[in-house]
Amino acid sequence: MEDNLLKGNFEVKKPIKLGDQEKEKSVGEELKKRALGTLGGSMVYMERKHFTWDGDE
Amino acid sequence: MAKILIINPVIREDDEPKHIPYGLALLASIAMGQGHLVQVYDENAWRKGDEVIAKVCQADCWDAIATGGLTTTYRSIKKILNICKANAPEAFVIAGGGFFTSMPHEMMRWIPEIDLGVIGEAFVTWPEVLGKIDSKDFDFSRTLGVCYREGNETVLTGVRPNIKDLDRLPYPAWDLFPLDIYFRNSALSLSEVAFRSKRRMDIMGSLGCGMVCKFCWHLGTTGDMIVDENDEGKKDVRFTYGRNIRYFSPRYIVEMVKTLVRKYGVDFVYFIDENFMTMDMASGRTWLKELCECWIKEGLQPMSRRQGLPDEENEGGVFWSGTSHAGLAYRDILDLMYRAGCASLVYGTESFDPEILKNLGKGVNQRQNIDALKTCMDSGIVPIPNIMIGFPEETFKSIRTTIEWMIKLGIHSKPHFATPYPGSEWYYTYKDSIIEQYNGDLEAFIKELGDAMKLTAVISHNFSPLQLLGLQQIVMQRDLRLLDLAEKHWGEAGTLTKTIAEPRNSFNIIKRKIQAPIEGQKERNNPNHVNR
Ligand code: B12
Repeated sequence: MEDNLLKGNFEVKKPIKLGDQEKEKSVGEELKKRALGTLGGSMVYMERKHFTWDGDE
Repeated sequence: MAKILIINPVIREDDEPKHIPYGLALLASIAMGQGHLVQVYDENAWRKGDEVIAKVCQADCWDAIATGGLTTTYRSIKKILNICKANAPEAFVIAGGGFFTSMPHEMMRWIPEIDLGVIGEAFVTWPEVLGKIDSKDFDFSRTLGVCYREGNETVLTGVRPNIKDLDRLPYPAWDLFPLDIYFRNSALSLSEVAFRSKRRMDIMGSLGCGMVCKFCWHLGTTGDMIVDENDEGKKDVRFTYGRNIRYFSPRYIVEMVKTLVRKYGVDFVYFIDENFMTMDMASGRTWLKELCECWIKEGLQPMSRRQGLPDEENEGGVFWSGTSHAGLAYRDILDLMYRAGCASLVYGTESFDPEILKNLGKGVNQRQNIDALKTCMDSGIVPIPNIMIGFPEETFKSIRTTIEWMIKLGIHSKPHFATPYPGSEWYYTYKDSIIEQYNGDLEAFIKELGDAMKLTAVISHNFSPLQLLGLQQIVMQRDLRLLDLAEKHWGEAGTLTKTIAEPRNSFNIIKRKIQAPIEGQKERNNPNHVNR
């Protein structure tokens, strides 16, 4: 796998390497993406962060 | 020389990145050819998000940052440019491509970070603009094909003539894109061989299409655009039925594919050309034939096709795919294309209803639509018939006709919705209705655009979103019983409902063949002398 996120015909002053950027892509995000892509029938997805109901009727 | 950062915006967020952006890759190559210092950051491939884009902006002192794409990349572009201005405030921001060309003034307003926009074909405008930036000359009033700012105003200059000879273009700068990512997503479910491809690349063999389909647009890059003063005396883009059809020589294309095989081991080539068959016609039926013959002669023909073996047993050679036209695809050329390695051809079948086809500008009738798929199948090439619903004239009857033929011909499709993408005749014809549907907020519509399988603005005169969504499902299920039920329930309701889509004439579309300029042509085609 190529390492530089920037590709060009010269060396940039501050190269950006792939490894440094590998912020763990959270399983949560991955799951959400996959689940939303396959929604249907019993494949349902519920937001974990946007639970807006505060208990009042 | 100028230090330029090119950013490829995200397209189809929900899908893996599958297509190296051909336009940006060519522009990168042209810029390097002029001696400029170029870097590409491909956010569509990497998808690393805002923080990394900010780092990219800070990675060097950029003279210019450039981005562009089709209209559906608008959301991504807007966000990217916002980050760019915050993190590289000194950089001159250039935008171009379909999203910009279809509505330059609006884009300048909605994305204040854009310093300069390029409309239409950029093969000449781009290096000229970079040259000026390099010499710190920011007066663009005499540069053709751009939109610049003057105080609070945005000013469009005249249209840039198309280049005549495509063969003079360099190869795209493939190496500036993360090829591993694209190769990982080589497989396309268009045909068995495309599905098994390990190393696919897109290439462009021609520019333009002679047809005038109302949903389609040619990006202002194919002689379809002029610039003219509107009623307020402001210069704006106008799209016409004029075309500057151009193709690369078969020799150029084949040499390029040989290079791709040598450098990257490419096994499949996906032609992004708008329409092979109109090129066949425009060339007096010589171009495609020569292309296939050259492909075979130069050893690109897959072994299976040479020896008449099943493709599963193939070793070596390059398969390919492209786009066809139901009225212009003859058996002789299809046979030759099959032999040369053509695996599948997209047909814009759209509908099987005679009335709808008549109004579409495609130059195809029902019979041709049916026959073409059979002829293609018989040649051994897999036809991919695209289906659409929600046409202005769509009725239960037309949907029924389409489903009936889908069943007879064995077509499975989740149809596209007839969508008025900016630039298309539909867009300008229904612009007022679109704005109304989005409560006066045109930008909200543009932001929402993605694949046409998703319903956005409605241009059907008879159906509401509710029905269109139901009809999409019914067409996908090819369920005539449900369709009958739906129609029975509808009863006379159609006579009582108010249509949400009403056509109108527009300054921005001229339904005549007004040819835009091409290099080497005299002034007589000066677009500023068009009669309204
Ligand atoms: C390949 C392709 C795709 C690829 C993506 C390619 C990519 N990575 O950008 C895929 C398959 C994903 C795709 C999808 C769709 N596409 Co598409 N696609 C094309 C296609 C076939 C080729 C594009 C191309 O590379 N052309 C060749 C290059 C050289 O042209 P270019 O990119 O426009 O670049 C030139 C200029 O525009 C300009 N330029 C471009 N960018 C920039 C940037 C700067 C800074 C500058 C200065 C200049 C500049 O300079 C270049 C040289 O002249 C075109 C049709 C065509 N033949 O052009 C349709 C086309 C672009 N697609 C179109 C459409 C409608 C779609 C879909 C909406 C289809 C659908 N019904 O769902 C989807 C959108 C999906 C989504 N969710 O966003 C329309 C665009 C409509 C619009 N208003 O923008 C086109 C024109 C087809 C048509 N005739 O209607 N598409």
